Amino acid sequence: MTNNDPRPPVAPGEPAPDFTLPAVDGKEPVSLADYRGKSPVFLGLLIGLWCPFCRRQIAKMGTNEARLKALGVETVGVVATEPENAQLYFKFRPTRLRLGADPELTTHRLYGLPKPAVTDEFMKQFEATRVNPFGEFPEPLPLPKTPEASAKLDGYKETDTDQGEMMRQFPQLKGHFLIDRDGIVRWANIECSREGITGIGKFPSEEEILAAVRALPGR
Amino acid sequence: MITCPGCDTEAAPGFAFCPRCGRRLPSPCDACGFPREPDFAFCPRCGAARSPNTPVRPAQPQKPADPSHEADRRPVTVLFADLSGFTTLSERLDPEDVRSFQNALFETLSAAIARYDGFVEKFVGDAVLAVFGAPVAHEDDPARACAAALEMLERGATLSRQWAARLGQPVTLHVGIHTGPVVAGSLGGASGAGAAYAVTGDTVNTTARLLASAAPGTILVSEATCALAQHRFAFESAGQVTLRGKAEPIAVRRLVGVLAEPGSARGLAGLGLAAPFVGRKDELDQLLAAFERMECGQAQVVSLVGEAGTGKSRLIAEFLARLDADGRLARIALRRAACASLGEPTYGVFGSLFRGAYQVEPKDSLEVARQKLVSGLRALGARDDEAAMIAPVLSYVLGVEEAMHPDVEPEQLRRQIALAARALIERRLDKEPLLILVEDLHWADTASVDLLRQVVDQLASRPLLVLLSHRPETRPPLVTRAAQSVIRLTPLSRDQTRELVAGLFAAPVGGRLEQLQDFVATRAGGNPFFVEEVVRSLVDKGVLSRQGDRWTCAEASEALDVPATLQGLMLSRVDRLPADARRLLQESAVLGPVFEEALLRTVATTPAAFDKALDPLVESDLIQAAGQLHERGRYRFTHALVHEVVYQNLLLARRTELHERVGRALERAAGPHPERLSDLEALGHHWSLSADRPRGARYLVAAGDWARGVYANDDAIRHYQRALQTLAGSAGGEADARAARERLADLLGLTGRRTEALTHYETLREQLAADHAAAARMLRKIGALHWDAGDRDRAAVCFTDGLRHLGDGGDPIERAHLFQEMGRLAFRAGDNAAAIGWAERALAEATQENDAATEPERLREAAIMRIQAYNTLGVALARTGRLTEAVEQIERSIGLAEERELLQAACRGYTNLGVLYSSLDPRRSIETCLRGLETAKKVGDLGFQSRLYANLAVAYCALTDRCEAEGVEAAQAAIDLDRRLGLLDHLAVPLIVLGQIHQCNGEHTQAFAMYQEALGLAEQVGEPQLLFPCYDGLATLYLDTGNRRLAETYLAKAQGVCERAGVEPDSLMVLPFLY
Repeated sequence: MTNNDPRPPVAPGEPAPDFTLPAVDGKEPVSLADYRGKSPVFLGLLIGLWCPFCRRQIAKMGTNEARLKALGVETVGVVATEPENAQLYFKFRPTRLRLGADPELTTHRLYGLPKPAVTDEFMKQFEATRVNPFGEFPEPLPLPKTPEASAKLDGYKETDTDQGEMMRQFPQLKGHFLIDRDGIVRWANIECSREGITGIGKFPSEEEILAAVRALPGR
Repeated sequence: MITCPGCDTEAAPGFAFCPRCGRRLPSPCDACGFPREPDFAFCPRCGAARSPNTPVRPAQPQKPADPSHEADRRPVTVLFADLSGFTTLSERLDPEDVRSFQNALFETLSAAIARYDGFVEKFVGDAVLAVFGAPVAHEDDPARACAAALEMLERGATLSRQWAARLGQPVTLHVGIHTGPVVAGSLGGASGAGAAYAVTGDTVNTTARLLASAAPGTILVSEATCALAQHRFAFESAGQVTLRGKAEPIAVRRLVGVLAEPGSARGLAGLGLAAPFVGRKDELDQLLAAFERMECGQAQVVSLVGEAGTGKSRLIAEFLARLDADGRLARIALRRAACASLGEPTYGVFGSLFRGAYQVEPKDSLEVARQKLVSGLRALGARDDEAAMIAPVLSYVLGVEEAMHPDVEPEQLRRQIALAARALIERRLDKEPLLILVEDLHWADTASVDLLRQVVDQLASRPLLVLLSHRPETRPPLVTRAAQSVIRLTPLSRDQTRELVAGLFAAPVGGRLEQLQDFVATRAGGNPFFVEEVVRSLVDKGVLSRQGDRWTCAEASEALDVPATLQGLMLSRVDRLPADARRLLQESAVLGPVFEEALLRTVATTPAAFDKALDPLVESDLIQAAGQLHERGRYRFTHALVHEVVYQNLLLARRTELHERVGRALERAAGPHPERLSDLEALGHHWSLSADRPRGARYLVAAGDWARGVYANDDAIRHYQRALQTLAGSAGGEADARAARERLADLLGLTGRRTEALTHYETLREQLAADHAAAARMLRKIGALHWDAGDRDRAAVCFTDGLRHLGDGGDPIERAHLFQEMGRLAFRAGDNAAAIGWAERALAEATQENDAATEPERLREAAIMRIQAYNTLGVALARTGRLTEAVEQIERSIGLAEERELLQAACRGYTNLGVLYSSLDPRRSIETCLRGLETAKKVGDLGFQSRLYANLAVAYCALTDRCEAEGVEAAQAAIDLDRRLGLLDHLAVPLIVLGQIHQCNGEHTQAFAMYQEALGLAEQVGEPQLLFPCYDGLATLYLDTGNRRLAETYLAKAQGVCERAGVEPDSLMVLPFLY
């Protein structure tokens, strides 16, 4: 896999690329153009439901949705999961979010979200992560390989498609954008882009989002 | 009869020590009968030399023992001997004959005992009981006893031959020898008439039983003695013997003779360890410089001075090895003599020097020996008349001939010997330079030392190097014309000692080298011999063990005994002290390894003699000033081992009395309310060893409280445990013991030692059944421990029981505690409404108490309860979606905890607040977790450390890009802690977190395994906030693999959990783990 789309991320001041995706609630497709001239949009581009922290983020966006709406901002999310899978999941977790399904990550590419090249070096570093930050252990431990795992695999079987989805997306970064009613990006938050400065960077905090909303010109 | 110069007791001839006071007795001159002081080589009246058969004692005079020798405890070697078949003999013979035979036997046996400086404790009928090591210890008492026993058999055989005709049968001795602890001292009134110095203890009984098992003509020796004498004597196994009155049979050995080539009592070669040569470079250079000056034709006398074990022999060996390597050793003649601790006969040193020079063997016949001498003298170029003069003198010195011609006057003999010695050495020097090496000069006979001095001075301009090694108590022999130098071997520095320990082990010592180095260095105090013996005792005790080439070291314990090989050596130094000084040393030992002069002065038995008594202790290097140079007032025992030996030397009764005396002095100094930890510890230590043990326990508990107050949990546990031990079985201390036990259990629970804590609480519950409030408190604490172990049902039963014990009008604090626990239980079971109810009841009770109470302890307790209740309220509110109120409650909880400095109670607040902030303010979320973690570490609460690690992992993964590094590590840290502590109640949490990380990274198989294990635990606990993420995780895993059927099943289960608990799935997603 290589970084075959060198487009830089969409920056504040630039027009937000339009997209239309199947909705996970099975109703009308989700299209950015629907909001043009009506209301600003808070857009979250996430990855698959296989990431528990993304699932958590979706839940959080759900709880935030009402507060943003009160400020006149609509919330739209994109998950990189097959529409049928997403529909099953959200049948049990009804959400007020408008969610589009985009397993091919076309939206992410459209918005120029980086996907670091997976080089041998990257993988080596990833796999060799040894842990001992707090000095609890006599020596750093590798990520545990659980020996009893195979014995407990009743009913669980990895498939090629599953691995495929994961591998296609890995290591896709996530991003959040605030788009004004004219379709211009006014604020962007790209995962990892601030690493080394604050350390906090995977998802924007509620306060950050609200501050960005309040700063929208002509809201 | 001989009159004891110490107490005027009349002692029978042949006694080496006074039977009453233990002082060494003078012995009559062989020529004129004048009672000669034991150390005199010549009779002061007639000048006759002491016969070679009765050795001169070590050159250093033994200071007389105190006439009213106080009883003490000490290790000794006991020797029991008697005749086989004496009873039938006395039945058959006339009592007068029996009596005169008894006298002869007594004289024979006493002579053998006296020769080796033993003490005849008792002589009954045909049996003798002798003690080696009391009243005065030697470093080799077991060996002395063995030597005496062999000599007794030999002399006994001669006696039997002499008496065979009159007795009508041969008589045979048998002997038993054993080494062990005894109490030694005057029995029958301290110094009154009839008082006799005696030893008491099971060691004596065991020896008597060994004697009973010894066949006629044999010497049975216990393993204990054998282990300490086998470097010099030959033993053979005599199997196992069941001794009367002893449960277990013991292994015994038969002493069969002296080893032809005695080994060294020292060194660790037997263990395959070789000590490196550490330090001593300057000293070696000084020796080499003296050698060079000698080669230039100036006679040198060099004394190597150092305590036993400081490395004198090793330095000499290195010196010789260096000369050999340079080829210089081959160009000179080397004569060496090693003085034996058993004493050297007159001119013994010269005897062994010349014996070596002419290869005269002890077994040579008179004729052969003479032949060797004459040819040796010729080879040296002696003229015939010279040889004729020297040969008879030499024969005498070498013990080849029994005595000189009786016509030779003693003074004339002395002159002849001097002349002969000088002539021999001079002849040798004509041929080549000469190095005379005399080791352990402190044991040499005075005649030899005088002669050596004389000869060196006469040969001052010849290439002669006399190298002497001796201990500090012997002064270097002064010469006037030859060059003299003294090299003092000081103890190794701590670093050098550590280097020595490291050097012993060629292979690394299973990770604990540092600890081993510290342990050995502390005990051995820079003495290489002590280092080796401490290492040896660690091997014997199994602390150090060897597998192939690798040594491993278990935890070294301070409680190890002093190595038996060192006890006699160190005690002998103590026994040499004057009585006042010895007593003061014992009093110092009660104070501890380091002590204040002022305190010692207040507890000293004879304050008037204090200064006079202190100086010898410093001079003899037993104690030294501690702290800064020139700063008087603080001393320490030079070696920790010396301190232990002196302390163990004290009678238990005397220790008890002295500890009380110290306790009182400390109380006077510290005032009625001591506050310093060091004061409390010292008071606790001394009183707990006095007769008033409850008082000691109270101080120990106070010390424990102090330590607990600064979260020094291990120290606090130690103090409480010691308080409990001190109170065990002492009447009147029950209430104190209960208080100590409860505090101990609290800390044990806190530090993860749950089983021990439970045992203590259960004991207390039985003891406190009548006290409702106390019983309820125990139930609450027991319940909390069960909960930690994942057993909520049992926990709930305990809490409900506790509330029932209390009733409605019970202690508000205790009721608040139990309401609070019930609330926490309800929250964790997913019943948030009930949790809020319980927390409000707890809060009401605690607030009421807070307003009513005045005692600080009650106020503190009330504050803790409020802190806890705010917390429970907070988490229950958070779960029901009232996030802002929740944060408010928990911030209030932390605020109160910080205000009252109740750090442990604050941990829970930090744990929960970290989770709540993760939505509101991610940066503060991580900060709060880290702050909580720091607090939990400071407090030593491992349970909250684990919870905080888990929450920290969630925060890293959910909020930052540092999931792989910090997130995984924190989760793993929590898993490790939970597994180690058996916190099954919590283990599911970090497993879930790690599962989520794996899932996020696409490591599906591992994620699956984590969720499965967590689910097993969560289902036992039945807690919604644990069940939900397991189901959710498994559902999404199945979703990803396209198994929609199972995905749906698990999604339904997750939904079921939420419905039953009445919580929103989103709440469990966003605020995962609250406590």
